[in-house]
Amino acid sequence: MSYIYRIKYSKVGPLKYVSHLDLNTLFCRTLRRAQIPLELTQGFNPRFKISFGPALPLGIAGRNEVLDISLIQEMDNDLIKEKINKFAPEGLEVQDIIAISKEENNLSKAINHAIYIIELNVSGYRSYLTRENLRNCFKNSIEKYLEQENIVIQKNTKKGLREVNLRPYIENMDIVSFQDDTVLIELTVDIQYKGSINPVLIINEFIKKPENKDIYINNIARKEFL
Amino acid sequence: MIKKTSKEIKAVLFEEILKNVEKPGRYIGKEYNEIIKSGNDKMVKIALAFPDLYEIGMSYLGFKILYDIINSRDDALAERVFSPYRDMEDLMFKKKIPLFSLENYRPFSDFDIIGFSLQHELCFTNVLHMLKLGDIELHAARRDEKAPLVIAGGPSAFNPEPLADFIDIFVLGDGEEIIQEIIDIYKSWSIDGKSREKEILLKRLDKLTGIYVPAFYEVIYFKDGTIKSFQPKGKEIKQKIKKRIKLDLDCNHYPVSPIVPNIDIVHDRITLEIFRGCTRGCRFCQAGMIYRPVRERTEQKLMEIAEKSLANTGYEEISLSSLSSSDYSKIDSLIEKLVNKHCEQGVGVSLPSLRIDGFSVQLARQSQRVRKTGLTFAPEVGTNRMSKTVNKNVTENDLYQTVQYALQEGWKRVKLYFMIGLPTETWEDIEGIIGMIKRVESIGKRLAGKKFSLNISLNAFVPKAHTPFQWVGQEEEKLLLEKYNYVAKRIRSKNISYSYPDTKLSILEAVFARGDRKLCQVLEEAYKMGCKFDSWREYFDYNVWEKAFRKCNLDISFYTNRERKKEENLPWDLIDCGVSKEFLWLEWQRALQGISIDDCRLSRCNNCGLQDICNKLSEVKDNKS
Repeated sequence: MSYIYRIKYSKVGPLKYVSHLDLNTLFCRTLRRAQIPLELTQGFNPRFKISFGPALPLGIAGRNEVLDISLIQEMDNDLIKEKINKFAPEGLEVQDIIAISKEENNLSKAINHAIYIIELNVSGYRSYLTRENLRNCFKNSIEKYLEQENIVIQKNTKKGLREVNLRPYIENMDIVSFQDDTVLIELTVDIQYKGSINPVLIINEFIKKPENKDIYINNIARKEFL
Repeated sequence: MIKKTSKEIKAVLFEEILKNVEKPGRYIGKEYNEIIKSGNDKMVKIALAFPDLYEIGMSYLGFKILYDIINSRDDALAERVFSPYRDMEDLMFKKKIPLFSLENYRPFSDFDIIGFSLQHELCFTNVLHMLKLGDIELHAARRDEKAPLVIAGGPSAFNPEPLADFIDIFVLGDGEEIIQEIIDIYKSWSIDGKSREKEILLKRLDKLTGIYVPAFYEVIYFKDGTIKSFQPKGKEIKQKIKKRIKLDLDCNHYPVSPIVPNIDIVHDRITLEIFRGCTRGCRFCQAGMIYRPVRERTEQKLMEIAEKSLANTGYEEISLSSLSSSDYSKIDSLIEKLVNKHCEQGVGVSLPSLRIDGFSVQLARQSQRVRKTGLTFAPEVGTNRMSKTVNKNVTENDLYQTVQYALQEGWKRVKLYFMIGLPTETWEDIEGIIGMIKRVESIGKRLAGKKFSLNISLNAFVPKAHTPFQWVGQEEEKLLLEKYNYVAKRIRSKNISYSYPDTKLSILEAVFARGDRKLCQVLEEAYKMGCKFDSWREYFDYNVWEKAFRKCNLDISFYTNRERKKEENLPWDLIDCGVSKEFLWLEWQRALQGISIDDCRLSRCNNCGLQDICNKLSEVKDNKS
């Protein structure tokens, strides 16, 4: 009998700079230290039965990442959370845990969208405009960007340069808040389309437009999955 | 350069640097079990410096032992410093931040003591590089008492002369006790306001067994460049430097809460050092000489260390580490206990450095009940004659039987290590290696079919200090290449993959492995011309090294291909590693006659020079039981 739990966790601070592959190892070691009774896979190289949500690109924080783990015995949700957090390295913290049924144990079906919060530096952007005009101007820029049917870029892959159309990945892009020097925008990416895409590509393409001169990325974080 | 504070370094690092380097995880620390002490003025602050990347340095046990011991003191702290990779170095230069520690982003030059770990000769340029990146004067003589005290230890400290100008003190042998004494002396010196001179500190430290202060000796040369004598500068300076030996490893500090790296490193597992030293007596092996005598930890102690380490780290693998793990006296029982206790949690036990016999295959099978990877053996040579010459004492048949047994037990992948360019080697020995490889391949094909894969690693023999081969000339490069190519051509097959090192790299290694103090200037010249990370192929540039030698008017072949005479004063003669020069010479003569000797643990004492130590060791053992 296996008992499956879905964990929501944050991967921030120093762990922003840890790759997805390394995160896997790091998480397993944390679970071992916490003595969570995980189920092992069969075969010569037994591993913990765990499955991760979509990978985070290096350098991007995740506030509500997801992970399913399979235990050999039932455990109290809060106890699991408490134990993991006690033994986690700096930057890793469990936010929430729910028990799920075997049928629900399919992360790729459970999540459709990834939402990113992007902080842009706009201190040099059209400094001759008033704030209200600036905001409208920026809003128009986003609308114009999204009006495009195709946003095709050349992407460096292992097989060399490849053309990628970014537009179908973008579900939505909106302003959250507008401060003196910074703008927060929320970017919703469709991950059922063709898997996840690095949001940096989408934002870079946006700030490359001539009308968006002097905008820089300060920070990107993945807020949550929907 | 205006000095930056830890806070400023951290800010620049996180805001401007990390997102632009390839592997940022190397530079931030913050791993589980990292020890961060804020530190005050009274604390002795020690930087444990590893002259290579994070992934390499984090893999060494000695580094973890020292980190643990120093940080367990209230009056001292240890922080880690590694060499940055090219992309990081460029950014640090651009943003004007000095080399810093991972724990507190403390500038390298803010430490009281900097301790370098010297694992091999090709890291020497990185020692200079790290000092430079830390804004620290390279030459020991030009550093006053305000600069950090720069010390160095590890296997390559056993021929310290090529670094003599740059290092204040070398530490020889086991570091567990001496590090405590160094801190104590440093502490009393630094609070003693009146006599706070560097000379006084060095003199006090020099009294410790295992400490070598190169500045206290003058080296006089003959016209031909060989050494006439070492002149101690003062009556109180010792004539010979004895290495430090810790007899009872059980009462040692052992790092049972080692740092668990956030990123993948070279040896990412628990290292369980089952014993130190080796008495097999392979004549090419420096480790086998300088780490004597053999000191085992008890099974009980090892079980305890393993259990604590697993609980504290969450690692999924334990590696039984030593120079020849099948030689541990209760190895089968130890493996059985470890596997029984931890296998259910999916913890694997791995056993590197396997002896070539059926017993070892059984051990491997036992230990790999959980994880099954390939098996690695090191026959080193291809004929029984050569086996006797190098005192490896493994016959061709031993290898065939062992491989056969391993394949019958289900292994499909075998890796073999061979050495080329050994003294007295003839083409017959090379043919022997080829014949051995082919025979193993045919055994493999017969028993494992198409799935069989054989990996061959060919290495160039490099004569090392403190070994019976310390007098021999290194094989000429042309001949080495000829032999490599010949073997490579002859063993080409679908089942076989092979790798061989850069011969130029072996030459440089040979230069420094037996180098003298004159090499300090070559090292500095080469470094100034851009040499660093010499063990990395993408960095290594032999042409620059040749230029540096020419500039210093020194001849590479003086260090590599020249055979030394019996009466020559060798640059490392000052250092007493316990094994006597007479024994080494006798061994060299035996090698020339093709006579092998037995392991002293299995037969009688070979009088290698450590008799007194061995007697004391048996007293320790008797007292324990």
